[in-house]
Parts: sequence; structure tokens; C-alpha cells
Amino acid sequence: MFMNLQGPWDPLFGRLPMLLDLQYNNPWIMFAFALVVLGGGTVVAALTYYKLWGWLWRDWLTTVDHKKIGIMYIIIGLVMLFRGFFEAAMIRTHQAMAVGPDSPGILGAAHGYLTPFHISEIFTVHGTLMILLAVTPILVGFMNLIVPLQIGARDMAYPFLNAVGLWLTAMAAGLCMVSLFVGSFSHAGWVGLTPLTELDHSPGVGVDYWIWILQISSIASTVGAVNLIATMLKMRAPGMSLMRMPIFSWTAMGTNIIALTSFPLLTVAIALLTLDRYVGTHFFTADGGGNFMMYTNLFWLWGHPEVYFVVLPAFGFISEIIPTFSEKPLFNHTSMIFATMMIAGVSWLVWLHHFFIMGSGPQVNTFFSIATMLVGIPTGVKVFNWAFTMFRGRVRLETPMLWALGSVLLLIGGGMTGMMLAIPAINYVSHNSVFVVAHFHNMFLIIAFAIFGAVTYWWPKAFGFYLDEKLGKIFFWLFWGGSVFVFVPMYALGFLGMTRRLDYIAHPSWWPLLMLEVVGIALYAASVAAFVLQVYVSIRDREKNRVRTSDAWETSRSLEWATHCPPPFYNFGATPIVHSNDEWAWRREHRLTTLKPENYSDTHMPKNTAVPIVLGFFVGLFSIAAVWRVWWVMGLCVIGMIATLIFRAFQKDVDYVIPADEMEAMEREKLDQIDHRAQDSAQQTGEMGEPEIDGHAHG
Amino acid sequence: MKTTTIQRGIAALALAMLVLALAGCSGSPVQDPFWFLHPNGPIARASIFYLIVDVLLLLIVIVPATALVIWTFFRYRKGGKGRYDPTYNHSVIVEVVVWGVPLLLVVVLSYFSYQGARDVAPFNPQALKSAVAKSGNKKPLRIDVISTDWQWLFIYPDEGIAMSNRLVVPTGRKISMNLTSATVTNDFYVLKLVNQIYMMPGMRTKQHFFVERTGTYQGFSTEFSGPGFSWMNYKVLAVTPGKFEDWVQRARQSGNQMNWQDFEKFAQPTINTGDRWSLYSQVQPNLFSKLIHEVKAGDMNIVWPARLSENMTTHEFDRKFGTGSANSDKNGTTADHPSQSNSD
Ligand code: HEM
Ligand SMILES: [Cu+2]
Repeated sequence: MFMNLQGPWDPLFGRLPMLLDLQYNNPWIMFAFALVVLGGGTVVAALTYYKLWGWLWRDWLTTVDHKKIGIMYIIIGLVMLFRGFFEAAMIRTHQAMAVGPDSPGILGAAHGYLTPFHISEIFTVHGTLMILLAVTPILVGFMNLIVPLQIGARDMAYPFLNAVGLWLTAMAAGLCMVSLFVGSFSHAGWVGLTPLTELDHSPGVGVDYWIWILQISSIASTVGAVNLIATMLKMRAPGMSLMRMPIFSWTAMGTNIIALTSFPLLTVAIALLTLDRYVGTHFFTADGGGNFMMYTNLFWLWGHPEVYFVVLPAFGFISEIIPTFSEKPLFNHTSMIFATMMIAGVSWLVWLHHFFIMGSGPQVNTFFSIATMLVGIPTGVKVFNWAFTMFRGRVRLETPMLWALGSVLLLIGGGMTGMMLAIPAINYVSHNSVFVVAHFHNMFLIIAFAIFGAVTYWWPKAFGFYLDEKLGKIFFWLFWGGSVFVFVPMYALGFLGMTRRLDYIAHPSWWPLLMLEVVGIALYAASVAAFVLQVYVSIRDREKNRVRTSDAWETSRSLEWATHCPPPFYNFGATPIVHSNDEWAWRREHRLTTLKPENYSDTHMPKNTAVPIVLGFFVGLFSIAAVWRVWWVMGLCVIGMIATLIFRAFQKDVDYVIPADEMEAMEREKLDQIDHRAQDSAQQTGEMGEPEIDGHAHG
Repeated sequence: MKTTTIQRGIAALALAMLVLALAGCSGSPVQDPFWFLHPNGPIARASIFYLIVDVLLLLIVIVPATALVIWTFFRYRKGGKGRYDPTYNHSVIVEVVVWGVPLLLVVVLSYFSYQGARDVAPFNPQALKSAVAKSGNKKPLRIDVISTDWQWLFIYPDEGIAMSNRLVVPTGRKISMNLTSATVTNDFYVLKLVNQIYMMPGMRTKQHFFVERTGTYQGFSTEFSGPGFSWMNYKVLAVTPGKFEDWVQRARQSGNQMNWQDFEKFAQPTINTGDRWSLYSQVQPNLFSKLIHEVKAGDMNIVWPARLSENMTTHEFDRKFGTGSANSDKNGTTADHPSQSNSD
């Protein structure tokens, strides 16, 4: 319908009959399929065996608790990160194999083991899912988990909207998994190079999968941003002025302002592309008056802010971890806030640096070059301020600190290569080379390092026990080694002139460096194993590794450490009153670390609801139907969505109140537990485990 | 114990760097065509000049920042020598320095950025001026470059000839190119010689360059353009003006034609021409601008087959696109090599 489609289409099944042509004879697809079935099957079987479905539905799938939503976001992100790693490994090993005209080819490929289409699908899906379905959900998850705790809120501004965002993201991830087996994926790069993504050049369903994944996760990020910004503006604890808001929350603010202003652009750009592909408009075609460079502009108008969207929370993690383990407040707090907001602001003015070589004149290019370099200033400021935070501190090298320091060192390298690419004269010889690929992976590694730091740092807060330190360190060093071995050779290959997105490597002289990258991949693989082992061992030994007080690291500084580990669903027994930038450190100094407030009061909480997941279901089904152009199912899903929303609008009974005495009872139980633990450990160590106090110098 | 882990890490890193440096430079990089740090023309040289300036200036901030992070870390380890003072959390002087120095640096870099952008501006590069003046201001050689799925066509409009999948240029003369694409965007690049520029369907971009030394260079596309992209390699031969004239004469005798109908055939998807090239002694005069018009009008109907990639093996490519053999004329491939003695 509407378009002149290649291949079969019928009103009932849409383009699905195309699948009849598909032979599932590719071992890679079979392997991935087996892995997913095995993994998914195990989870389903375990849930059934232990009769956990009811628990899952009541406690998790229908929850509006920001902490659980955050954790689910992070789990989705980690699973997708895992899948993305497989793709990375395939790209690296294939390229190392397909070098030179005499290199062997297996599984139907002329060189290496992946056919040209297959590898382009793989690098496209790798980029798309790593950015939108791995890193973004993990960061959004952390913002959900931590921000309300940090600002002393009992809940978020729009818990319902928050759950909707989660389920939309989950559907996007689901769609990405479906595309692995049912049909194909886009081959046009994560940026969706036009006019390559137009129907003439991508007549299959691949680009449609890519479109709907982007569209759904883009809407999810927009609604998530609305919720987080409103929460931070309206729900801070009494006494917390904006300038007293902890630095991670500030970076979350910057990030979500970016999200709120830039994701709608992606929505529009993708929607126009969708019209081109579905109803035959000519927005981004080369013919019919279309202007495909307009797409490139719109995409990067979102795309560049998006890269700062992902880096700011990472800067936030680092800014929380370094003071804690330096036992000292963050240096130049105000300046750090200012730097964050400046990065967010300037991120809007630089998008053209992604296509300097389009042929624009020197004036235009210089404008964007200078704007790009301006971003380097606040970034540099941050590095210096972190260093000065350690200066005159007492630096402890626990695992989170290790990740944070690795991240800072990586930032210096990535910032430098970014500043090189920002000069048009240099960009003209390095654009689209693997030097660029190394640059942005370097930047994303900063984020990955910060994320693993944050996982280790806040794990005890979220779950009440520590992650294993020793395995954590092994994980760190393997991951660091992998990063060095993959990306240092990649920078070198960039100088040698290697282009990105290659399926076949024409020049045998690059082979040694490509092999080194494979060594890096092996190290990464080992690091993944170490991480899985670390989580497993920590969960197994959780009783041994219980957190004793609310302040897991004993020198933490912000408000999330002023409640139990794990925090109860109402976050704080009573709304905390804030006195200082670093509230928890202030309380520690004033010996006010008791978690028992003066009195309890009635607390207003939202009720669980199944509406978000139902809505998510309709959206997911809609997008699959849209990919295969089954119009009637799409129509039904739209009706379903509208009906669900109308149902929600008439739901009156969406919240409830915890009476003060009930709250007191729940709190007393928790406080007793803490006392017991403190006594236990006092007996073991012979002292009262009182945390050390800031300002009390040792030497 | 912790320190030793770190030291070992750093040692490992240093070793890795060394190995990489050696691996990267194996063989003389000057002869290696794949090393963009060895420019062979004013444009590419200008780019490398700005690269070096940029890196040196950046080191003003990078080195102290790295040193500071590492030094504070070792100095202020818990239980180490550093004096602990948690009240030291603000300093106006530090603030002024850490904002001011990078700001100054960006101001300086901005100057170089503008100069660089002018020097290598594809449409009107300033860097060519002196070379062109020195060479006696000869009339520039015009070349129209067209990329298809996935071949190259170089048209010499003034000479009335064309060549596919290989570019021959004279030394000591400014070369000015018009570029476009028949289907999707490609990116023109000759390593060490010509900077990148997009080639976009329905649009014309320009690029200029000047070759100083004879030699063989590598050209390729850097913008992903579909399954044949990895094989879009071609050789660029730079020959002396005399040899170039000889080559033009020979090309005129090749007897092949490139009219619009021939071009439409040529533009059908073709993967991996395997260093095969063709000469055309006759080219439709307005081929380049006609192509732009046809693309805009939507008359270039090059539609790729819908496919599900899992069973899209190379054999299928063979059937559909004739992998491995360009529809080049066999006569063309036997035409004389323009120059056998062009190594420097
Ligand atoms: C903050 C974290 C950063 C991330 C996540 C990031 C990510 C990226 C990505 C994904 C691309 C290329 C995407 C593509 O072409 O597919 C890119 C290119 C680029 N980045 Fe960054 N970047 C970051 C920071 C910076 C900084 C600080 C600078 C400069 C000061 C910078 C300058 C550039 C430039 C100039 C390009 C274009 C290179 C080219 O395509 O020729 N980036 N970056
Ligand atoms: Cu950018």
C-alpha cells in the first residue's frame, strides 16, 4: 500500500511473506538465536519453577517506584551492552580475517566470514544499540535511581510517566532483539546516512526496524526528561537551594535539558524519513526536490547534543566518586556546576563539525570549529578540578575510584583527539577514518568507565551489600587492557588512512594492528567474564558483605547516603532538611548521622499500575506491525493505546497515604536491624565502627 | 601492593605503545602510501601543518593536566606524604587559571583554525596559490568526477576523454575537480594528496589540488555507500606533463565511448573492479551536468534489490551484480600504462 514495494505485500500479513524467502542457514544467526532462547528460556523457567511470576508482576512490572524503574533501566542497558559487545567482537575478528585479496572467506563471504550486507547490519546495530539502548538506559536508570534520593524526595514528579518511559525503552530493546531473527536490520550506519536509507537503496525492512527503534526510544527519553526536570525543580528537600543540589543531580539537570530540547528534533527527523519510506514524500531524497543534507543537519542537531547527553551524567559519577574517596569536598563546586551547564549550552552550536567536508565555506566551518573547541574549556576545567579535589586529600583506591581515575585519564586523550578533529584543516584528512571511530569510542569509554564506577559505588546503596573488591579490580584491569589494545592501534590505523565501516581490508600492511585489536577484544571478553563472576560471587556472599550503616563508604557526602541501604520504597522516613552543599558530610561533621527523625508524618505515595506496561505492549506491537506494514494491526494498536490512556484518565484511585504511625513502625524495624549489625561488628572488631569525621586530620 | 599494580599497568601501557609505534612504522613510511602524515601536495601538507600546530598547542594544557592528575594521586594517597586539608576546596587563583589558560588557548587555536580552513577550503584553497604561481600559472586541468554504485568515472572535459576506476594527473599543474554522485553520497579522498570532499547525488561540489612529485597514490571513498563500498579503491597516477600529454593522445585512440546510454549501463551496481580500468576516447560533452539533472528529476532509476542479508552470499552478488568484473571494456584494460617510471 502507498509505496511501490519490492517483494510481496498482502493486506493481511503485510510484508511478512518476505520471510518465506529467508533461509535460516547462517550459523551466526542460529548461534545468536540459540543464545537468546537459552537465556530467555532459563529466566522464564526459573520464574515458573520458583513461582515468581506474581511477584514479578506486582513488585516490578507494574511498579512506579523510581528505584525499581531505575534498576530495570540499568538491567536492560547491561543486557544490550552485552549484545553490543558480541557485535564488536564480530566486527573486529572479521576485519582481522578479511585482509588482502588472498584472504580466505567462509560461510558465503568472499573474505572473512561475514557477507557485505551482514557486516553493515552489524556495525549499524552495534552503534544504534550501544548509544540508544545500552548507554542511554543505563544513565537514565542511574538518574532515576539516584536523583530523587540525592535531592531528598520521597518520589518523582510523574511516576506514571516514568514507568511509561521505561516500557517504551524496553519495547525499543525488544524490537532490536526481534530484528536479529525476523528480517534484517538497517545497513546504513547508526546515523542513517541519507539517501542510503531511502526506499530505493534500502528496500528491505531493515531501515524500518532502525526507524522505529530510534523513534520509540527518542520519545521515551523525552518523557523521561520531563519527569526528571520537574522532579529536580519542584521536589527538592527543604533547605536545598539549586546551588546546593549535589553535582550528579546538576549533571542530570544539564543532561535532561539537552534531552528535552534535542530529542524532539530526532523525532521530527525520523518522522519525516518515515513519511519518505511509507507514503512516498520527498523530504530527504535526492530527487523530487528533496534535500537529504537537511536530514544530516537535523540528525546531528540532535546527535551532537546526544553525545553530551551521555557524557554529562558520566561526569556526574566521577564528580561524586572522587570527593568520596579523596575524603574532601568537590573542588570549586560552583565552577563545576557552571562548567556542566556550559557544556550543555554549547552542545547546541557544534553539530556541523560532523560534516565539515560537505563543502561549506571557511567562514561557516570556522564558526563551528570554534564553537566545538569552546566545549573543550569546561571539559578541561573539570579535569583540573578533579585533580584539585584529590590535592590535599586522602585518596583511597577502592574500585569505584579506580574506575573514576581511569575515566579521567581517558578524558584527557579523548578531549585531545576531539580538539584535533575540531580543526577543519585536520578534519579534512581524518574524517570518516577510524581515527574518528577511536575518538568517539575513547569518549564512550569514559562513560563506560564511569558507569562501572557508579555501579560499584551505588551497588551497596541499592542492594545493601558490596560488590567483591578483588574481582572488581581484576575486571577493571582487564577492561583497561582491552581498551588500550583495541583503541591505541585504532588511532594508529586512522593515521595510516584506514576508513571506517570497511567490510574488506585492501591493504595487508594493516594486518598487525588489526590483530592487536583482536587481542584487545580477547581482553574485553575476559573482563566481561570477570564482571559476571564478580556479580555472581557478590550475590552469593552477600551476607558476609552486608553494609553496616547507611553510609556504605563511610566518607560519602550527599543525601542519598542518609537513608537505609537498600532504601525503603518511601526513600526517607521523614523528609530531610538540608543545611549544606554536602549534606551528609555536614551531618557527619555535626554528629547528626542518626536516621531517626524527630517525628514522622503522613506520606503520600503513588499506587502501582499496569497501564504503562499495557501501553508499552501496544507500542511494541504497533512498531512490529509498522516494520512489516500490516496496516490493520497498526490501526488496532493505536486504538488500544488511546483506549488505555482514556482508561487511565478516568482512574481516580491512583495514590494512597502511609499514616505516620505505620511509617514509624516500618522505620523502627529497620533502625533496629542497623543497631544489631553495628553491635555485631563492634563485637567482632572491638570498636563501635563510628565513621571518621572530616576535618579531623591524621598527620 | 596497590601501587605496584598501577606501576605494572603503566609499564604494560608503555610497552604496548612502543610495539604499536613499531608496528605502525614498519617499512619506510615515506614509501608507504598509507600514512597520511607524509603529504605530497600543498593541500595535504597544509593539513598536516595545522595538525602539528594544533597538537603542540594542546600539549600546553594536556601535559600539565595529566601530570597533575597523576602527581596528586600518588602524592595524596591515604597514608602517604601529602598533608590532608579538607577545607581546601576553593581557590580563586586556580579558578582563574583553569578557565583562563584553556580560553586563551582556544583563542589562539581559533586563529589557526580559520587560517587552516582558508588554506584548504575545497572550493578555493589558498594553500595552492604559491605553488600555482611558481609553476607559471598554467591553465588548471579540469576533471569531472562521478561516483556510481560502486565505481568511479573521471571525465577530462577539455580533452574530451574519460577513464574509469583510475585517475591520471600531471604534476606541476593545478587540478580543479567537479564532483557528484549517481546514487548515494560518497566521499572523495586521495591519501597524502587530496583532502576529503563529499560527492552528493544531484549536487556539485568542488575540490582542487596540485601534485608536486610523480608517483602512485591511493584513492578511495570514505563515506559508506553500500555493499560495494570497501572495494572502491583506485590508483592515482601522477605523471610528468609530457607523459600526461602522451597518455591523453593514447586515450583518444582507445575507441571506447561514454555516452548517456553507456553511462546508464556503467552506473548499474558493480562490485570490485579489481584494479581494472577503462579509457574512453569519446565522452558525451554534458555528461556531468546531465547526470545532476537526471538525478534531480528522479530519472536515474538504480533500485537495489530487496534482500534479507542472511542469505545474501557472495554468490548471489556474483549473479546479480557480476562481482569481480567491472563492465569494463577488455580493450581498455590492455591500454598502455601511462608511466612505468613514476616511482620517486
Ligand atoms: C563528550 C563526549 C563525546 C562523545 C560521546 C563524542 C562522540 C562523538 C561521535 C559519536 C562522533 C562521530 C560520530 C560519527 O561520525 O558516526 C564524534 C565526532 C566528533 N567529535 Fe566527538 N565526542 C565527544 C566529545 C568531543 C569533544 C570534547 C570534541 C571537541 C572538543 C569532539 C569533537 C568531535 C568532532 C570534531 C567530531 C567529528 C569528526 C568527524 O566526523 O570528522 N567530540 N564524536
Ligand atoms: Cu559532535
